[in-house]
Amino acid sequence: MNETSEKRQIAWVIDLNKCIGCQTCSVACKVLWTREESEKAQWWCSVNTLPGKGTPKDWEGMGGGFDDAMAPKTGHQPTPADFGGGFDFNHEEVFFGGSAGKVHLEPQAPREGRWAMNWDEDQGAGEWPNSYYFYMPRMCNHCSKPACAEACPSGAMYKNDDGLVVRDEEICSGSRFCMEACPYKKIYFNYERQVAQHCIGCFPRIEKGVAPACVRQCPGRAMFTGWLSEDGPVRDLVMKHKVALPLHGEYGTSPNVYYVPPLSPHPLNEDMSINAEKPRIPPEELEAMFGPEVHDALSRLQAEMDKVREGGSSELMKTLIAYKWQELLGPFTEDPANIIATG
Amino acid sequence: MPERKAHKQQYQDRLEFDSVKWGTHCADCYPGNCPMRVFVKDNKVVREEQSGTLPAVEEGVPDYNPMGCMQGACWNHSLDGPDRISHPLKRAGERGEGKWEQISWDQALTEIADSMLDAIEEHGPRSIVRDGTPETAVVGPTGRLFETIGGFGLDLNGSIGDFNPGLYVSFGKMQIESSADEWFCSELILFWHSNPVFTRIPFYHFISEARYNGCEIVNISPDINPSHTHADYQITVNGASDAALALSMVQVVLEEDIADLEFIREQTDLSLLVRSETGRYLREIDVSGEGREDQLYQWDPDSGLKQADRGNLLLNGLEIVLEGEFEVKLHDGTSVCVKPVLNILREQLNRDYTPEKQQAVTGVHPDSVRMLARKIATRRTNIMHGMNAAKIYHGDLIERAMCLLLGVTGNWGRRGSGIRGWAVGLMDGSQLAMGKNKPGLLAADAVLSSREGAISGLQQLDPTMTTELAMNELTKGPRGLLGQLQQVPEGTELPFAAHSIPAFWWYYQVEFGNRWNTPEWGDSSLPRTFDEYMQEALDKGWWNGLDHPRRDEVPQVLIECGSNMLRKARGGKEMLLKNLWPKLKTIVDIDFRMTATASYSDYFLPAAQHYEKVCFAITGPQVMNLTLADKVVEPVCESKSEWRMFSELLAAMSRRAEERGISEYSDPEGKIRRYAELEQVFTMDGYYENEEVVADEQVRDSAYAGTLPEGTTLDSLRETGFVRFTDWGKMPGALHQASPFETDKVHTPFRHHVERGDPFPTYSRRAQFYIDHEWFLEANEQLPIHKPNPAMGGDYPMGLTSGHNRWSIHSINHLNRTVLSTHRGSPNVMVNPSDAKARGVQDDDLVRIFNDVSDFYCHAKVAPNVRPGQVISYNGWEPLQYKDWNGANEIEPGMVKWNGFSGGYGHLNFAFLGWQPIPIDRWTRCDFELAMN
Amino acid sequence: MKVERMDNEAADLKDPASAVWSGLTAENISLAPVPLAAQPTEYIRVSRADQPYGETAEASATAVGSGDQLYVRLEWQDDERPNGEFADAAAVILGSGDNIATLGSDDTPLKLWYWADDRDGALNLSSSGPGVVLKNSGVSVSAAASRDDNRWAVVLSGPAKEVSDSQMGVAIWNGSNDERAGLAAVSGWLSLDMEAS
Repeated sequence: MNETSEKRQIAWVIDLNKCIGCQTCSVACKVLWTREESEKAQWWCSVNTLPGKGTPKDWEGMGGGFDDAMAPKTGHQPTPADFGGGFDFNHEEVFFGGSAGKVHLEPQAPREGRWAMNWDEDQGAGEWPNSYYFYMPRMCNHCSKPACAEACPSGAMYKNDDGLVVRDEEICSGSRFCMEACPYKKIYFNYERQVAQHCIGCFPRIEKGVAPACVRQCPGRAMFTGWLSEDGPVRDLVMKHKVALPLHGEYGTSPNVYYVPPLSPHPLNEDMSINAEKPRIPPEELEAMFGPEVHDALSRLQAEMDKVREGGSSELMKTLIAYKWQELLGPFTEDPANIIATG
Repeated sequence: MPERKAHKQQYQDRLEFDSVKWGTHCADCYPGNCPMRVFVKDNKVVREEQSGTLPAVEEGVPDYNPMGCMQGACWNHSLDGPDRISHPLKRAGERGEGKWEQISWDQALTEIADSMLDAIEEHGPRSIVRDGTPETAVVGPTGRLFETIGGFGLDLNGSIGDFNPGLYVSFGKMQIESSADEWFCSELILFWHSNPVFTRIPFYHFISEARYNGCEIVNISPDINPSHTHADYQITVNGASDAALALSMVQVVLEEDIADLEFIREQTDLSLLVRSETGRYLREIDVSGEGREDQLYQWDPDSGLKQADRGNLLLNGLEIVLEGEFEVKLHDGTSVCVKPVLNILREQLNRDYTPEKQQAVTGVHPDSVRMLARKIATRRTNIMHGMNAAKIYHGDLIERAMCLLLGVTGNWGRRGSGIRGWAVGLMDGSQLAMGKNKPGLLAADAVLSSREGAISGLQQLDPTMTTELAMNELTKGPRGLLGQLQQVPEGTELPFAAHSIPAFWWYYQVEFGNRWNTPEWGDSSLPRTFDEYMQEALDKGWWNGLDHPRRDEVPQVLIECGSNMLRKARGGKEMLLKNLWPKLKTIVDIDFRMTATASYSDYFLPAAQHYEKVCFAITGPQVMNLTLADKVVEPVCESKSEWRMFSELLAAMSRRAEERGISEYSDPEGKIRRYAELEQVFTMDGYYENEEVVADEQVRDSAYAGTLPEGTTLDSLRETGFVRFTDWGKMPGALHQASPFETDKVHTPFRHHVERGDPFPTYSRRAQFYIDHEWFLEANEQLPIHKPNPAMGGDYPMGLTSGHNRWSIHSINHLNRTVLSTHRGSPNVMVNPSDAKARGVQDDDLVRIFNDVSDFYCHAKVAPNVRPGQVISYNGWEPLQYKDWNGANEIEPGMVKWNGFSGGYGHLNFAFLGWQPIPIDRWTRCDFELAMN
Repeated sequence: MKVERMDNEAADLKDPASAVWSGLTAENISLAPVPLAAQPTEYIRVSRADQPYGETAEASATAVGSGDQLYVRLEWQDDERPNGEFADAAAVILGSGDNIATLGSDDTPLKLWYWADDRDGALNLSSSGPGVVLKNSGVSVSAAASRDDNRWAVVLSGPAKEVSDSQMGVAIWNGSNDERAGLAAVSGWLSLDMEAS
């Protein structure tokens, strides 16, 4: 019996035309789940400026996932240096060390080769005045074919009833094959506890009917969540309007985080006039991320946007607007302040 | 598969809490107002989360949820973070040496009280000075402390420059702000001198949703800044050249005959007549030899010369003539030629600002100018404008040109249109509770009646005055029309006892004169020196009573509370440390965290943080709610609320005065203050014992004044966390909206001007683009024009720009480890790869940025979105995050534009948070080089 | 392999550099990689197909019984200290059955007294296949290591009663080759001549 096929699957849709790179999702997650000292370098949810090297640095070149024949592909395990961050600072010395004006506050880590979760923020690519960039949150994709779980020798990882990929940390032996096998490189290692950790999809919140922190706290209203198999914006955007696409679907893991790809302003011609024929972000770069379907998705978005500008009505635009914030939360509309403590 | 439950427990446990209360962050992240649930476990705040309980205001417009940002989402980390200081400290070495001794509250307050007594006895109470602050949690207590002792406060506008002089010149006010959800109703949004992707995190969704609702987004910026990401068009404009771009669009609108002429006639001064030979308006005193100087004229197509109505702008279809030249006979029998302002404007635009001509200045292709102008003329357009233009030397001209563009296209007072500034208001109880002399609603009523009396008194003096105009007069204090009333009504004084204009403080106390008089750093096209203009302004009495402290009025005690002068002062901390610091006998810093200013102070008093005291977020039109920041936990260690701290400080002053045998003193107005009574005055005879009582009184008084629902109290707020206001009330920033208050609709400012014809609080009573003040004529700035940015800092190839960053509220949270971990963890300057390469600089290299003023060191962030020739240093970093504690401010000369000192002309007179010289810094010239680590 | 009795020298026995060990004769042990085909997940089998592991072919072992404790001193050549993610590690394998080469199986789990260079002390693990381990509680084991001239010497000790069928095995993980879990070199069973037990 295929256990997972009968289970419901939680999915995310992230509208990159709404994401402003503010990191509220990242911080909301951090405050809730990874605030221990041993977790200081962990960002289960993170936002990066693209194009960029992201987190961990150059993760897209690290392998993992599956090939066309669905055979596992060898992956690189990202190192602490690849992730970077987790900085300690010298507050005490600066404030009270008696060297004010001489010693300044800065991360206490070697400068050479330094990296961090959002190190290449707002750098982007291209050449002024046609430089371009956009923001992209990433967390565990809670894949339907999770390469991480399949690679785990101790069977510590499994698909939860809600479709979330979770790890039994009692069983995890710290062998880190999951980190190699995950093609999205969103698994961290806790060196103190000797277990791997990754986004748990806020399962304790889901259990209580509360949306994941990243979704519920996103001020840009860029994140939707819900059951992929049930009516709602998530299903509509993925299945019906087909404007939400998985990131690197070719990795073969059937990810459950979908992205509405970014439109972008036109570039300028040599004489500084606007080149209305082209978007600023080269479409081939988006294709490399979201697959060839990205062109249709972008055209559909633009066409629906144009339709509304000309006075028409668009179901897709209304869905993306999400007039009522709770539409973004799918069925998980409970107020976290009303949760009764689990004891 | 086995049931696996045990391993889940450790994560399920994280959701546990003992109690949950309402909180928000009362820092000046205007307008804030994010309702948060604050979760407490074991008497410690463990996390916070946006409530998501804001109802939609208007059907068919998205709601505000879930307002918040990454700083608010980890605010609890700053309660017990490494930058939190929670014991009173006394300097144990030299100032700024970083050596401290922990002392008791009793010792701290006694010693500070003694130095305040010394200052009062030897130099008078105004030798005790405080800087302006917008931080709501401390505005009240600090203002009242200074009112109680009669100290000096510096005006916030001149201190931080987050206001909009060009809006002020154009409209007579700059507290203009739509509700954030109104952005959704725009058809065209221009990000122009603003970067809402950084600065409007809680509200940005209204823009992306507006886009899905048919709105187009245009980002106008010199660099490809983060707000370009979701724009439909990126217009890349040369730095500080925006006036030329706006004026060129006005030229297109007029030439292509797509202007809104009816709007122009009613709303703007473009219909007013100007004498050709003098460039001055035609005035009633010119025509009849008597009457009002500010009674101006229009040309009626049927009957000719017509007095422009000062009381109502509506013309009911009368097509006032906008083009042509007419002869008018003056009272002395001479004839002069007059032209409507529009005629003069059109000539000037056709001469200097055709799309082809502007390209040389702005770099924008003429086709783009035309395309944009046509869109603006045909759509409800919102200029999403920030506080950046205000920090450019000729930013007033840029803003005036933007307003003009909106004026000729009918783009204000209509849903989805307009321009924005910064507005505070609605919480009338905050003034009533501080203005009254005993608790309860009767006392509040007395203040209200007195205020009403003042308004009707003013309206008797000038029947054309609306309530807005009358309240505006009150903010000018006795210097305005109010001075002509028999008696200044109780409770109508300025909120703070003695008000000073920071420009004079910098000039006399920080010695900025040399810099301001450097011709090439200012407007070198002027015929006179800076000092000559300033002297004329003083001679003419334009700033009487405000031009203090003069050079011989040496300040003795500086109390920094909710401010961080050494961090924020344009012109740099070294100027302050060198010229001001040695004069100050005592410097007291009150904060919850260590800052640059705290580091150089004599005493540090630990304040309670948000979540540790009761306060409210800034109230204003953008979110028309009163949002509670409750006391969720006790202040950590020895920190305490400012209200308690100041009560105890005043008690210490009383005690020490008695011990020293001194009993009373007189302030410069001759008012006698008795030392023994200071604490009673502050606490209203003990009633205001803490900030919680004060907050409750303010809420009740607001409800009484009608701006909150009847029956609202602090306790009722504790149920809901926030409550929507019910009326504008009478605070100037609310009245400046000049719009009806509708509880179930988005808010668009200026509807009264457009729909009812309410006059503007300008000299001409219209949106005024022609300023015939003598200085403006002398500088050729009577109409908005483009002027090149001066070479501030010297002749260098790079320009230093700035802007509010993504990661902090000014310097708040810049030392929060969690926030620091969301970026590189230390300051950077962003530069273009070509400029970096030419200097052998690679990403993250340490560079030295320098000019004739000074230098600073910083790591470079090499990014192709930066314009070649531009160095971006986003604002707010603490100096103590830079090598040698020198940040970007050190190379800014700290100029103010000379015309900020102009006065004696209608709205060009001082007003609280209004007209005055303001500091600027953008596009300071500089260069950079690779530095060795 | 003979297990010497040394009931009075328990303290010294924990130290691999102690002189008490030098008087004893060490037994040479051959190790071989855990078979690729036995690796528990396809990912590991695919990713290690062309990436050799478990190449620590030789080690030597010495065993002492003291009180109710068994002390095993292992020594092997290791040319490189790891600077990556994984530490050098070794284990004494206890149990029975014919699946020592795969570090046990579901049906017949083996016990591992496990030492790793990046953690203090030792773990007592239950291993039911390559990398399929669980921590056992209730049994105290310990470890101490020393390194000299590119050779590790590690003493693992625990209750002698944990030994079954008078046999033990050895597993070694070379950290500088990122070896962990089932990526190990394993010996066959060595019979223990438990002198006085």
